[in-house]
Parts: sequence; C-alpha cells; structure tokens
Amino acid sequence: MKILLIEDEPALAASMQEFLLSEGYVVEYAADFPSAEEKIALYEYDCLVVDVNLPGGGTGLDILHDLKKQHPTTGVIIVSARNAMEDRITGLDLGADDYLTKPFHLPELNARLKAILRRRYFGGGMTIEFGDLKVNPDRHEVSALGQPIDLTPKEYDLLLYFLANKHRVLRREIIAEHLLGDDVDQMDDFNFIYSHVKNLRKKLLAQGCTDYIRMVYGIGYKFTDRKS
Amino acid sequence: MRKLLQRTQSLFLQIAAPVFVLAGVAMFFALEWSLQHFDEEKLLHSRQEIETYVRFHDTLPVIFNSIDHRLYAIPQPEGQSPVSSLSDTSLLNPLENEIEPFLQLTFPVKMRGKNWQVTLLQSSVEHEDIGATVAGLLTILFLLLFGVLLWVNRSVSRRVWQPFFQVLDRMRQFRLADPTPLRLPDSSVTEFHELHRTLEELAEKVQKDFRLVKQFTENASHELQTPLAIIQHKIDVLLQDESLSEVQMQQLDLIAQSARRMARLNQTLLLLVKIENDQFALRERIDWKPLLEKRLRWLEDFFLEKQLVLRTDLRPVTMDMNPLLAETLLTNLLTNAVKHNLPGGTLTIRLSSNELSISNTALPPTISPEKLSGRFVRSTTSTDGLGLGLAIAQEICEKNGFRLKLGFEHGLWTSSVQFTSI
Repeated sequence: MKILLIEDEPALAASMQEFLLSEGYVVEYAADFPSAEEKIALYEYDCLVVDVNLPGGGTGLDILHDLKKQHPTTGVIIVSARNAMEDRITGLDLGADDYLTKPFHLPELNARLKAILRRRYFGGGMTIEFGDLKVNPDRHEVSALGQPIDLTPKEYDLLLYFLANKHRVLRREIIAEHLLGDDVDQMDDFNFIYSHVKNLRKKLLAQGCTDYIRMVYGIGYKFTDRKS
Repeated sequence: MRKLLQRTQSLFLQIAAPVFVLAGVAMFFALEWSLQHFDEEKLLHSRQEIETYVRFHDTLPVIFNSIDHRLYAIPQPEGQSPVSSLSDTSLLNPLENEIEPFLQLTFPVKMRGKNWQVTLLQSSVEHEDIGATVAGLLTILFLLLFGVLLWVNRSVSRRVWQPFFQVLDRMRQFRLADPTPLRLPDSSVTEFHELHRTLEELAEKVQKDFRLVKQFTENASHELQTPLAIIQHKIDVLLQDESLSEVQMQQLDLIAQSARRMARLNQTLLLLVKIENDQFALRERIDWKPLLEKRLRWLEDFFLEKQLVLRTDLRPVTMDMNPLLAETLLTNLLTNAVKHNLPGGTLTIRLSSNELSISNTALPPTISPEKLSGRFVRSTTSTDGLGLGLAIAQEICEKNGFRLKLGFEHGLWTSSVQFTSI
C-alpha cells in the first residue's frame, strides 16, 4: 500500500513516516503545496494523509480538490487543526474519507488508514482474520472458531481497533479517545475502558477463543498472540 | 463626586454673592446720601427764596404747611445772636402717631423791624421709604440676574460640553476586541478636537497591542502543537519496546498523560482566543434537544461508571448559533456535571425555551460559584480539571447573549444558561 504524507512539520512528518513504514506501508512525503501537487500529478497512491495548513500557495483542501479530479479512487485523510469545523466539513464535501484533528495518536491514524483501505480496495468481501477470530467489517459480524459473537457497538469498535493495532501496547487514554472522540479529553477518568475490555474478553472466551488481550502494567492493553 | 457644572456654579456663587451684596449695600448708601443731599439743597433754596420774599414783602410767604413740609417763624429773643443751622430731628406725625425723621433748617430773618428765627422742616420719611423700596428692588433685581446668569451658565455649559458626553458614550461602547477602530466626530473646538484625536490614537494603539497579544497566544498555541504531537508519537513508539520494565512503562505513561494534559490546555486556550476573536462565524439552526440527547448518549459510559441517576425534561428549542460553540457549551457543562458528581448521585437536565439548566449532586464548592467561571479557577474538590471549562462556557454565553448562572444549594450544583436575548 502506497501512502503520500503531506505535512509541513518535518519532525512530525518523520515520526509519522517512521510509524507507517513499521506498519508495512510504502510512504512518500511532501512538505509543501507545490511538491505535493507535483507528486499527485506524477504518481498514484492508495491513500493521502494531508494537512490542511500548508506553505507554498495552497491548502490541503486544494490538493484534495485536484486529486479527486485525477484519481477519484484514492483515499484521503484530512488532518486539520482542532476547532476548525469548517475545514472538516469542506474536506468531507470534497470527498475526503476521514479526518483527524491535531494532535492525534499514531494508532488512531493506523486504524483510520486501515478502515479506508479496506473499504476502498477490498470491497464488501474482505474479512479480517486473526487466530481464532474472523471479522467481517462490512456486515459488522464477528465470529470465533466459526461461532458468531454478539458484541455491543463499542465492544465491536474496540475489537477492530485492537486488530488494527495488534501486537502494540495501547494506553487507556488512546483507547478512550478512539471510542469516544476528541472531546473525551474533557474527562479524567477512563475506568469505563476496563469494563468494555472485560466484557469483550468474556464474550470471546465464552466461545472458546484464545485470550489475546493482555493487560500491560495497568497502563493499557495489548492485543497479541505472541508469547511475551 | 460632583458634576463639573455644579462645581463651576458653586464657584460662581461663592464669588458673585459677596460682590452682589457689597454692590447692593454701596448702592443703598449712595442713594441715601444723594437723597439727603438733595433735601438739603432744597431747604437751602427755600431759604434763599424766603429771604428774598421777606426783603420785598416784609412778611413770610404763605406756604401750605403740611405734615411733611412746615415753615414757621418765632421772634428771636433779645440778646441772642442769630444762628443758622441744618440738623436732623424727629417729630411726631399726628396722623400716624409715629415719630418720624425730619431735616430742620433754621435761619434768622429781619421782618417788621424784629429779628425772627425761621424754621423749615422737611420730612425725610419718604426718603427712607424710597431707600427701602430701592433696596428691595435691587435685591429682587440681583436675585433675578443671579438666576438668569446661573441658567445661562447651565445651558451654555450643557451645550458646550455636549461633545464631551458624546465621547463618553462612544468610549463606553468601545470594545477592545472589536476590529473596527474608534471613530469620534470632528469638533471645531480645539480642546475637543485634541481630545478626540488623542483618544483615537490611544484606542488604536491599545487595539493593536491587544491584537498582537491574541495573535501571540494563537501562534504560541499553534507552535506548541507540533512538539506535543511528537512527544506523544515517540512515547507510543517507545512503549512498544518489550525490554522496558514495569516502572519505566508507568513513567512513560505519566509523561504521556502530562503531554496530553498540555495538549489539551493548549487546545483550550486556542479555543478561548478564537471565541474571543469571533472566529466562529458559521451560524446554523441549532436544535438543542437532539444535540443534548446525542451528548448524553456520548456520556453513557461515564454515567454507568459513576452509577449516576439521570433525569431529563427536554422541550424542543431551536436557535441560530455556531454548531461547534453550541456543542462545546453542552460538552463543557455536561462533563462538569459528571466529573464533579458524587458516585451514585443524580443529574437533572431541564431544557425549555428560556433556559437550559443542569443540576448535579456535588460537594459544596470551596469558593463562591460566581468565581468559578474565571480562568484557571477551580474548586479543590475537582481532581484534574484545567479550570477552563466554565470560562469557555461563560465566553460562549457572552458571545451569544446568553447568561450563565452558577449556584450551589442543598447539595446540588446548578449551571443554567438563560437564553434571554433570543
């Protein structure tokens, strides 16, 4: 999967690039408007991660506009400043698949990217398989060892997030932000994550599924089948 | 505090009153003196006429003796040398039975071979009356003059000071955050012209400084975002290192939490500045009820966690407002009501066309409720809040003409937004 990262902050871009490379993507990088325009004119990407505010005479929204004329199937994630609701609305109107507000967590970017790529390139038939688990994202169906499991929307969301970020330590805050959105930063107490994880695990174990959820020193969880 | 007009008028009174009194007294005495002089002259004239008459006719002229004016002659006793004198005296007025003042002139004449002493009496009571009348008139005149002067002074002052009050009015309407410069009317009066220009310059400078400070806050917040994001990313990466010990992991978690707190503080300050700058121009029809219900569903996990009992009485209310601000206002008030609630407590929400009121069980606040909408102010019962939530709610209310009322009564904390101006 080939990703174009358009971000004017070099340090931020570097850490995003590093992360995406570690997830197995091919990542190219543009730091300003003209070089981004040049890249989308010359090459084809599976998904763009584009910051709205860019130096060099145009915004990320302009790039989105031009991209959709040339490669309408390319997925796009808009990265905007928080509280810039107009940017988000315009971005989604112009055909962006999703938006992230700065600052965001890398696992969040990962989960959004995977969802877009799944939707855009694998159609309805794609299933996510992990050990005993099988998930059909289009039909919101989960099964373990062939047995369907009935999950609440939040448990399902949580499971998908775990699957997108498998083998990765995920702090409780990040999970809470994924489940409830940016506004969750108003709250101080994320104990509810504990109950959701507990319920999810109980439902999976009830079907004889291997226990993939590990608690990590009280700071978060890791979804993995590797022995530590 | 006294008005300038009162002050000038009292000064005017202090100076004018003694002058008027002195002038009045002086005039009275001058009049008296001249009247007296006039009487004396008249008597001396009469004497000359009488002497001339006596020389030709050897008898006194026939004069109708009135109460006011009398002439009589008495033979001069032998051996007494003739004298003439002018003096004041008092005689009884038989009509009014009063002693009245007279001017008396005595002089000798030779008549029918004898020496006579002639006495001319002229009442001066009229003069006293005239004096009194004049004094009264003068007093009335002075008072009238005084009144007219005061009135003229007052109305002139009012007219002259009119531009000043206009400026005061404009200054009262002047808002620092307003992007339009202060414009004061041109005045043909030098002093006001200077005042206006000076105030305009001052306002421009203050507005510019204010803009700069705001811009600085915005830029600083913006610049902080990137390093904070990098810190967060790097912690995420670092946490994947399997060789980390439990203590190291927990410390990383603490660093991440602090970075998150800073990022949040930064976001919130930025939001506050943007609200102050009116950067949320977009207005949409906001339907409060579904918006509120959406937020309540969003908070479900926290209700369950704290085992809160939710009571709602929501009526449909719509108004034009920025959607993000409406949502922020709701989120801030609702999350406060959840965060500061007691385990197993209640949360009561009422929405009507007049107000939105949110009440929750809470510990008594350690500072007065009104102060809590200040920035970085928090009650010590809260654990981790930034102390900006209510400040933002307050700012949003102000921008939309709502009134935010905070209060604590009978173990219930209530924040209510009154949609008064809608």
